[in-house]
Amino acid sequence: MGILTVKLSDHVEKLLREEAFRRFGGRRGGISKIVEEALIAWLQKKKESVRLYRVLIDGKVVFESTDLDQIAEFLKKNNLSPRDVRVVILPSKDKYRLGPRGVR
Amino acid sequence: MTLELYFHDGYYIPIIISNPLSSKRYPEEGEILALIDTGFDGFLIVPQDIFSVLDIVPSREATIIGVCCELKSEVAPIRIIIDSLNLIVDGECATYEGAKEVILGIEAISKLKLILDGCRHKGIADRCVAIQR
Repeated sequence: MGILTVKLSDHVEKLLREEAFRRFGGRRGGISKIVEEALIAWLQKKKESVRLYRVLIDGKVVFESTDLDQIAEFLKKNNLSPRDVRVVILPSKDKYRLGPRGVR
Repeated sequence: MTLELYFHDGYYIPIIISNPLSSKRYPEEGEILALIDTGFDGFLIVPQDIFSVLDIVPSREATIIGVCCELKSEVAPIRIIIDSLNLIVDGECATYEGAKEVILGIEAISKLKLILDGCRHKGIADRCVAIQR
């Protein structure tokens, strides 16, 4: 197991210690566990979403997720093509604003 | 882990556009430069030919309001991949007749930390950090 010396701002150090205390009650190794978890999460590909996707068949919600991989997996598992279902995107915007460059 | 933006007549970021529902991506190899446009309040705009290449099934119609006019657009689920930042963001893309550029709007930018240096025509992008001061 490696030992690293890193510099953190006072603010982050305070948050880290508070979180370690909250989760591990001041037991030894709590900070290391949190740092390791955070590093693994950072080093792994980070997936984000700004929408919720809802799959509808005949107007009935059959699946929903914020992750398009899960939507694709659901369709594949149920032998469905994207054309067999309706994928509703939420929140649904019906108007967008676009500057002069996009719409001339 | 930062990414240098490309500057020409605006700031551009290299992205891959992917449709996980059809397992298609654009471009098939490499990346495409998307214009960073804070004047667009959506996620992504693509030209109609890219919409077709990705085999996208539109979810709904929406109106795009510009300076000159209002346009009808088609909207569908989409994913952007910013490889250099190890970042994937799921959102939605719109296309309309006459769309010429790939435009990244404010919703996509909300997942990025951007620093623009107008004096030197340079810019950098980074992933958002978990703890913002």
